[in-house]
Amino acid sequence: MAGATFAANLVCPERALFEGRASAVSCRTSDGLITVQNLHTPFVADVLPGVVTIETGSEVLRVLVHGGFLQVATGPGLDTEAEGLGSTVTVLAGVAELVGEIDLARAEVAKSGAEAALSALNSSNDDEHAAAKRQSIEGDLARAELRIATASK
Amino acid sequence: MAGGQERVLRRRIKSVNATKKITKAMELIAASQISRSQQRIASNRPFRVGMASLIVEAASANKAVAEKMLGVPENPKSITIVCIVGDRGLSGAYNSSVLRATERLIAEKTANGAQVSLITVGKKAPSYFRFRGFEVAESFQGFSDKPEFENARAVATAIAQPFTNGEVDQVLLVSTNYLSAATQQVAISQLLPLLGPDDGAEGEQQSSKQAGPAGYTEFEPDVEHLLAELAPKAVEAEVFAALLEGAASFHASQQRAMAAATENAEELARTLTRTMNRARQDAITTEIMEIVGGAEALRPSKGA
Repeated sequence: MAGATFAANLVCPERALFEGRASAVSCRTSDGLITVQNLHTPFVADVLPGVVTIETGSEVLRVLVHGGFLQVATGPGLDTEAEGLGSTVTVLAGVAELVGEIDLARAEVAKSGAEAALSALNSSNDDEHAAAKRQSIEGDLARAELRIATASK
Repeated sequence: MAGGQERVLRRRIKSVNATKKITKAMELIAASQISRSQQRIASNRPFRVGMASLIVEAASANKAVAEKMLGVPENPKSITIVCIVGDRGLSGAYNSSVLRATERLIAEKTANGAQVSLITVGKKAPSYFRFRGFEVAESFQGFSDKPEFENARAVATAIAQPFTNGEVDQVLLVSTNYLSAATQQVAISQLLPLLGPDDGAEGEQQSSKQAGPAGYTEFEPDVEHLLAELAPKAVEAEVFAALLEGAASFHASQQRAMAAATENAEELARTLTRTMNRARQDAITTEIMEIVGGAEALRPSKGA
């Protein structure tokens, strides 16, 4: 379907992972899986950790994001390349990586490191800092597990 | 005696030249880091802009919620001040200007009756404040040259947790804005609560440009939950941007400071060389005078 593309961006703090035209963007939100196509209603949602797929006419780009936000802006002049009505879809992710670029070995190391840190924390549990520490370690662990699960699929 | 003076001068010139080499090298390294830091700021910009427009959109969709969660608190009782400086010195006024601005801010807020706690980034901060008797609640260091997003997240967690627990009413950030290679500016900005569309001039411009007709946007989950979720992420983004700008500013000030130091060293070496040459010439002249005088004295006089 020619002409049904829209401007899509997937950006993380370090760089823009994708900037260009797309025909569909899919991701998981807290209400379920969603696929956005051209002229979707203006929409803002949170993106759960998982894979975001961006379909350009010729290829499908899969990006692993560790949580983020989805913003769909639709209106006159909102797509810079299209005349009249158009959409711009932006995915903001704190941490994101192309599925093909995941470093499986590093994720395994991170996972075992996080597990060790967690068990060390369980055995000590002394001060009020422990809660915050546990939270950050559990975050590391979840990210490592997600990377492993995605990459080995 | 004269030869001794010459030797002393020669030694000083040598040491000045060695210093000059070091400052020159630091200048070149800093200069190469500036462009890299600038690049990182540029590639961070899309994320920053996207975050800002997201907040604006969420805030304009539900004014009541926005008023509750955004904006500048009128009479904050408990304030956290975050200050971002470098890990290293030899960078001109970069560290000291931020530290002095932070100290002024603390004094001002304390005078208004607020409880101030301090979180610092950069090795130079804790010693400065400890010497002046301020307690530093938490300090981070080791990444001011090349901050990663991971670091920003660690700082943001330390900032956001007390705020979401309700222990802190307001979080202020003292950092350096990188305007250009020649101009950097110490800036005080509010991290939490998030600034709504009416509070920041920057956000206002974006709202008219980016978001379409307001009020038509669907939210999932609802605005209140979304804003609650957005706040810590936005703090991470802000802190990261501030760290990047701080790094760029640090390198720029260091480059300038080291360029000035190199110039000073050159000037000093030049004056010292001149003094040394004069001393040597004096020594030579004196020696010749002594020889001529001695020979004159030994020559048999014509008359005798």
